[in-house]
Amino acid sequence: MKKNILLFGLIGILLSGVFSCAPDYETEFEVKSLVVPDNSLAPISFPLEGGEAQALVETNVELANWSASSNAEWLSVSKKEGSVTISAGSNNTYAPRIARVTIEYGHQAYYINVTQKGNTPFLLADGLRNGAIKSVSAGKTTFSVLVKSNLNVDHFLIPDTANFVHLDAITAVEGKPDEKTVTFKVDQNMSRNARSSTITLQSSDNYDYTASFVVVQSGIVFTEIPLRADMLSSNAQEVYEGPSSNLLDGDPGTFFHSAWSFSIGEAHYIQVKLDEPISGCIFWYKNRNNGNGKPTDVSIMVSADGETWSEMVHITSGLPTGASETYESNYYSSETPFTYFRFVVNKTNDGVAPTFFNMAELRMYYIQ
Amino acid sequence: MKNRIKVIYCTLLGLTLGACNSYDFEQEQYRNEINLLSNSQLIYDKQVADLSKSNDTIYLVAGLSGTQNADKSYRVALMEADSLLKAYNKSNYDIDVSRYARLLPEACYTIPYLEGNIPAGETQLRIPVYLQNLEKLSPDSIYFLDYQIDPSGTDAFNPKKKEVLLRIFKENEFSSTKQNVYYNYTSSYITTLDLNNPLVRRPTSSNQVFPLGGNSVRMMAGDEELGEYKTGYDRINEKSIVVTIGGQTSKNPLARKVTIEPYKTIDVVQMTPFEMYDNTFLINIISTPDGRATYYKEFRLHYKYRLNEADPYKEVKAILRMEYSPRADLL
Repeated sequence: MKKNILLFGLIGILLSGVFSCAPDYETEFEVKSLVVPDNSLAPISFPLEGGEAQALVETNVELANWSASSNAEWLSVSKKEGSVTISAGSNNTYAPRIARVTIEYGHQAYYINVTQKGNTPFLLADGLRNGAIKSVSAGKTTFSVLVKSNLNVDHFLIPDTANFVHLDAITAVEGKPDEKTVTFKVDQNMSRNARSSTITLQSSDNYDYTASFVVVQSGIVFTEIPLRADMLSSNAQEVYEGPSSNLLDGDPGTFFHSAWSFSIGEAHYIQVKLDEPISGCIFWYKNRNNGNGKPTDVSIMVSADGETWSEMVHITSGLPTGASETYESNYYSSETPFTYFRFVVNKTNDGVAPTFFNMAELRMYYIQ
Repeated sequence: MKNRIKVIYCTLLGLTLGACNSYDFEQEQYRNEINLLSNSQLIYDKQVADLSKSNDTIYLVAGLSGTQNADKSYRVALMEADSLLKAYNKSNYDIDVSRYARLLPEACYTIPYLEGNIPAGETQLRIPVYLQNLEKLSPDSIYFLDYQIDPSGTDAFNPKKKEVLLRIFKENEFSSTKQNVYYNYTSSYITTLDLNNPLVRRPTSSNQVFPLGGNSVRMMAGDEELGEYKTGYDRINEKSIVVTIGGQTSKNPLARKVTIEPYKTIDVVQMTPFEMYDNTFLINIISTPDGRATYYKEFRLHYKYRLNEADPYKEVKAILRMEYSPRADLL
């Protein structure tokens, strides 16, 4: 009997322990929820003039306890029981704009993306959005482009790799508020090759809407100056060989040679007296077909009157020293036109001035 | 039989009571001593000043040891010190003086009082340190405040915890000096603007971003290498740019305009926006159809730079991206 009492006592304690741990499935908890249905989460697209849209909100949360907000000033949001009204005014800009509406309760949030179209921009350079071509000569020049746009075109992008074009002036076209004449300056093209630059027009009203045109500048055209023997002279003409007229005979086997049989106290030169003044030139020469007396350091001196001289360029590298090698200079120009041209040899591959030098042929070119 | 049951019950009861016999927590188990809150190296480095506020507050914390709340108040007084800073510099940098940590300049903080009480029943005294002008601080230097307990104005204190180095970190929305913050190049181009050598590179590396002021950060230009940070002083000065974040764009409220300027000697020209390289700082939310979203902080930059006047410019069209969690940022 007492065993049974003990047994029942222990079973009773065990059962009460088990049941005391049982969860309470009977109590009703009020679950607060907020749901924005999928079809209300679709992106909203407003036209230019704006509008209104509704997003449904299924919730048992009190109106004051959930929120609806917009992250953009242009988009307003108001809430009421069961819905959110999203409204936008007119978009006066020339670019589309976007915003985001957030409907949230606690950590539960729904987002609706909103876009609105902007005014349609137009931007034309010489009547074309892209592809207009402006051809200019090789010389320093200017050209104009007619820009037509309802945007404020405030950026003219010239690439660093083709920056020979420079914005000069923007002038309004009378009676046509959407049109402007834009003038550009173009640098002298010093190369025989044509070059081009793509100019991009851009507006801070809408950076994404651009127009462009291409400037093509022709290469420089050089004309050979017809040199005659009577135009040549030297301060150190060798008496035994190499008259200066050999420079013009077209024969690479003949040559000019400066003095080796006597000495003078200054650097040897060959001089050209031109018939007409020029403002710049390219010169070309061919070495004598031997290995000595090849200029390696040369000053090109120019003068308008043969009295007052200025150094147009001092060349210290790149001059050929091999037999019969040729050299063509860059185009060099002087601030004032010159009639006298001197090729003064400061150093040769044999020595330092005053020292002799030689040369087989000499030519000069000017810009036509 | 009856006795056996009694013995069993008594044994169970005894065991139960014995198991519940608690240690005597009613009594104080340790000494009540003042200490300055710090880690094992006597540095307190858990607080970060927010640069977006013109003033932010961090705290020097004096604690009271013991297992019980004290039944009386304890006086605490602090005073400036320098021995820990000297020890820190000596042990970390030895003779490399250029790398020494510095005391926070006086123009950058105000401490309204250095004395107080830990009231009876409480265990802490927090002394505020009002921080200001932190944009003047180099993000590459280590700054501390060094304070110790003033024995004359403090009740019993722990001599091993009598001094503290309070590390000054700063952060803004874009970066922090507390940890290294990297943004990764994505869809980026670096073009050498040289007609004869138009090299185009596609960087996929990362760029460490340092906070300067509330709305400005510093980063290396293009894909210039920071290299080893410890020896990077000259490289930082020569090759860094400053990006300042401004107001919202009219097109997208999640995008803010930026301006790009040289940090020191570099020649930088900000170019006009081009396609997605629109010179903005963008919170880019990329959502998947199932409703999940990934959040990125992105610098979308278009600029050109060169390190020497004789060099051609390098044009940078870059998206520098760092994933983040907006909820974690709120923690």
